[in-house]
Amino acid sequence: MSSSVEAITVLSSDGDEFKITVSAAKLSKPLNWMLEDVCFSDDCDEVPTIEVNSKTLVKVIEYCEKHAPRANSGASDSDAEELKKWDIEFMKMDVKDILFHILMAANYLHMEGLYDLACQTAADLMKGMTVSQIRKIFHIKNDFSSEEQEQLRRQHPGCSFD
Amino acid sequence: MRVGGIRAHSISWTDLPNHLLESIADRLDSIHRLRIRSVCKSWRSGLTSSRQRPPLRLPFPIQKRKRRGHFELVCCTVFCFQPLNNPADNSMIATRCWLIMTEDSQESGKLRLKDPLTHPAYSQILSPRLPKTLNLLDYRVFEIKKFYDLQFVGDENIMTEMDHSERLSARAEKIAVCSEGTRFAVMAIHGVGLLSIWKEGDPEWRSVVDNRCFHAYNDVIYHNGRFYAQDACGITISVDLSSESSAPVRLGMQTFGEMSLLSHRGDLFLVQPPFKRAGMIHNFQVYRLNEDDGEWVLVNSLGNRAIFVGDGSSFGVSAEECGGGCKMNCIYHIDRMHELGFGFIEIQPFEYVARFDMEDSSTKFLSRVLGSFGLFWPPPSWVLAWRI
Repeated sequence: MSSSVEAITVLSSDGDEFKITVSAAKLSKPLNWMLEDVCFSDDCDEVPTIEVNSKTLVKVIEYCEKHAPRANSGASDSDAEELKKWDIEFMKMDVKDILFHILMAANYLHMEGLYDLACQTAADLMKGMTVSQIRKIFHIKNDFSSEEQEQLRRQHPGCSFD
Repeated sequence: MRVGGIRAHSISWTDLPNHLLESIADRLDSIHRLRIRSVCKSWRSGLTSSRQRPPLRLPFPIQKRKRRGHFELVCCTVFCFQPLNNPADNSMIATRCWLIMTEDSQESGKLRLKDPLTHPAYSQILSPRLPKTLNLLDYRVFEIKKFYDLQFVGDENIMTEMDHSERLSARAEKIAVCSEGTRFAVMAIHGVGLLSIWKEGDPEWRSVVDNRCFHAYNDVIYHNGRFYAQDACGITISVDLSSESSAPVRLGMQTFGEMSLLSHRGDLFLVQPPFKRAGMIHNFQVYRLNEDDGEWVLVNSLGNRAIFVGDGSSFGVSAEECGGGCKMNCIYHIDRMHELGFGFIEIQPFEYVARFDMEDSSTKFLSRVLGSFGLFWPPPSWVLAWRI
């Protein structure tokens, strides 16, 4: 790649264009490989598509830009502390619409930090919840028949289903 | 240019790929795991009921200075198969249950079949008609007992650098495993009957010493929160995991021979094989542990259970588990005295298994017992003939 490029343009799955700095894009392994393989100079007319919807991609890029300086240079403890607080605020998002897609995107883009953060957020949402509460939080329909439900109840008497 | 990937449009949490669901469940305890499995069908099928632990690394060798490499646990499980329908043909001579030991294999999903009492691996050569796969839905299957062994993982050349005494410590004669909640510990007999214990997280094994000058242990078992070890002189010691004191369990009488410990349905048994003394042949003696008094009590009847005494693998079977395929109140064992008579001709394990009946103190070889054919090997016709 040409060293003069500081930011690249990518397309979301909805077809919207987004700019992401090279150092931020490096947080994702596939994007990093792409940077190494593909010419991103201005005369290169092909724009890569990332199969993530616009709403999610905005958040992913926001995360990358925030974390890139620390990932590239290492940071002091106070920075790490501040970043943790930022992460918590960042993850306050709609569970159904965004968190799921963030998790899928982090997995697909091989972003370890974001993946851990999203998994932990989902796990924290389930902690201490009953089965029906988990269904409500994650907008999942109970698709067990009443017989299956009865069987589950018998198998796991320790679980509450109500 | 497109980076091939996900379609992130109309999918939702029920479509979460299994490994992502696993990642989330890994951050929670086992109760939450069960709850997650109860949320919807796709989550239920996507998540296994228990955590898939990576293989545990145990320090190697058991005693002496540490070497490169480690031990891993190998698990063997004894299963009892029963036909879903009673076999219509020759049901008079065919057994109604089949006992088989399986050993986990390196290849996932593959198991090695072994003899439950003497442990050599069975092969297709012995029984070419055995189906390559056994569909567990075609049979009623009970897990009878799990046995473990230690396997060295590392550079095999290290064995050649070891002296004799060190090599004795490079394998275990017999081990017992405690796996309860977060507690995980292994007790091993190694070398010339030495006893050592390892708890998860410990950097090395610790030897279990009691203040007797001679003790060569030959059996070890985990039962109701304690390890029990049996030595050649007939002394049983029990080791409480939390306090780690080893208190000997007294036995009412002096005993001889290699005794076997076995645990079945909450009871701990000690089985003494027949022995000759002063011209008298003493039959099997079975003791049950009275846990309150810490004493072995001689029992006259096994009640509604049969017990199997093998080489380092002894287990009990209830009437329900074997569906009437084994005779209750009996001890199935290997008759070594008669085994010699066969010379070096390769015999099938079935031929040297004998059954001692506690009711009338009679012993019969299984090959002479009607309705026992196929209890071990070769498998019964309803296993063999299923899909030819």
